[in-house]
Amino acid sequence: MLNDVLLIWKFRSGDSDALAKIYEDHRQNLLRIAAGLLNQTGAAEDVVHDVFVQLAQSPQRLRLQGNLRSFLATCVVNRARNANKAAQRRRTGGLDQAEAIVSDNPGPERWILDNERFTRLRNALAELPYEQREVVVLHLQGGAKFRDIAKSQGVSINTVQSRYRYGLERLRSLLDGEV
Amino acid sequence: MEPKERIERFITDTNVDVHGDKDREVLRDVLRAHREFKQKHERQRHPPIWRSIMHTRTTKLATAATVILAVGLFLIASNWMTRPAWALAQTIEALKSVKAIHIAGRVHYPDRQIDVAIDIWATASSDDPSLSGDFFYREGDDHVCVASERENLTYVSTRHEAPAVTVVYITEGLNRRGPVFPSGNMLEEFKSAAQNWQEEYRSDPVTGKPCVYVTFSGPAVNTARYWLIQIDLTTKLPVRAAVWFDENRQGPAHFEYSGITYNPTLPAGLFEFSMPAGAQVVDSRKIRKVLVETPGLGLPVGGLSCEDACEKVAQAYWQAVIAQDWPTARKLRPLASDKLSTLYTGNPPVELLGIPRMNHVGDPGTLVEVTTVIKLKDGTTHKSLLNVDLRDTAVGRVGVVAGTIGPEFYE
Repeated sequence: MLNDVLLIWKFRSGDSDALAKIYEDHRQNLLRIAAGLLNQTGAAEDVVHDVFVQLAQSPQRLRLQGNLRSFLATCVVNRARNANKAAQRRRTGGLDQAEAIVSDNPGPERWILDNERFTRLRNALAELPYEQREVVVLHLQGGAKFRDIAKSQGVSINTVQSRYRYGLERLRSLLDGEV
Repeated sequence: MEPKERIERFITDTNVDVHGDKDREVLRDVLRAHREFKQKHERQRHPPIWRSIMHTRTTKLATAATVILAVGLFLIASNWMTRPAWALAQTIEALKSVKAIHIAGRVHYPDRQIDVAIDIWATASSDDPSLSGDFFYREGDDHVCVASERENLTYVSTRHEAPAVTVVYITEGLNRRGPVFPSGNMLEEFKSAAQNWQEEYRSDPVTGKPCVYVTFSGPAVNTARYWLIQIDLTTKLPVRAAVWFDENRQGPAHFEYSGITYNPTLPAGLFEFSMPAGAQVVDSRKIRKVLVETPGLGLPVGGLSCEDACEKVAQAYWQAVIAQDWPTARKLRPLASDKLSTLYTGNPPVELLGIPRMNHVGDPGTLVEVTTVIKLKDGTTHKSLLNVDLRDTAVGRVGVVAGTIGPEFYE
């Protein structure tokens, strides 16, 4: 925690090395969260890329309410939520928008590399309703407390706990035999 | 393990891998964006001092001391701001002359209903006057931290009750507990953060000197809620400070600093650490050396929180020991490589029953202490306090077991 505070202190004082260290420490976990929330790898990579770029452009936003990990995870979740809504809008759009939703072509170079275990988890997460997926990912991978997730989702803590329970049960049945 | 726990563990432990070239490309984008931002906004503010109050007990204590001092100095400035404009500049100027501090006080532990004396000495860093350089912190007879700017080393000495041993951590760099040093840069932070502050002018009951008693509640950051600063109107410097964790100021103050001395004469050898007799020394330089010299040691823990990483390392270590997989165990505990297989002969561990507690998580100047509960072959259950070091290496972040605190097994 103290290291986080010193790091932020340096970053806000203009130290690029501190920003690089924040990036190094957190990008893998943020990619994991974004990829768990979004079905498209490219979209997940964009979300994390944009979170870091925005952080670089607005260091004054970075005030430690809890910890750096949670702060960055919340940024990713907010952007992923918007990306998910936009994807839903596209899915209900006309044929002229079809190209935007066809596939997640890997392209020449992907940031996230295929990893069998993560692919299995991601496919299972994709089967969950978005709200359940968000609770599971935020709690287990983002380290967020249920009460903070409840605040972020605008629902009661009981609802969040139910979503978590249902989400885990569903994942258990989907991953049965693999875990 | 319950099915629910298994699935939770599966999710928690599943990581993504990243493409190195793409990774560097994104970092370049991020740093470019930062450069452009800096060009537009040349002047950067420091981060909020409020946030420097740490979660861990020891960092809270030490940091709070210096933070409180800075609050007091800000409040002097605020008082002067209602008068001629030169006052603020004068305060900031006065701060520049503060090169060293001594703070004496006490911390109250409500759970044990005891007060423990604390003693802090610090000098301003030669590189950055908003940070301390040499730093000394003592709490009671059990805990000492010395950060030496000359040596660029930090020593932390802690007395353990179970197992009964004094441990001294030696880490590279100034990993001091309480890095903030009073400076003009802090004034802006406190100006923006202090809430509901009030001034009451009256004499000090002991010295009779005219003072201003400033009280305010801070933003809800961690545990500190209510603050009191007593400022001597003659010297314009704080002479007493106290912090409550209850915004209604119930009960005794949790921290109280009754003796603050500016630019004190520093006792000779204050920042030279004296090794306690019989102490167990954990020297992180040895771990760094062995990790640099032998690539592939340790367990990759990139992307994990400190707690998760330490748990993963401890589990992997005991799994290897229980399976008598000595090559893997040696990779995870490289400093014990020569004798590792002999540590557990006769009555070897057969099961890791749990990891009930971790100490020094994110605490600078120490390694994480992970309490593990182990069942041995004879059916007895014992604790083993593993010391886990997390470190960035050329191949990413790895965790290793530095050793055990005290004997291999206790209780």
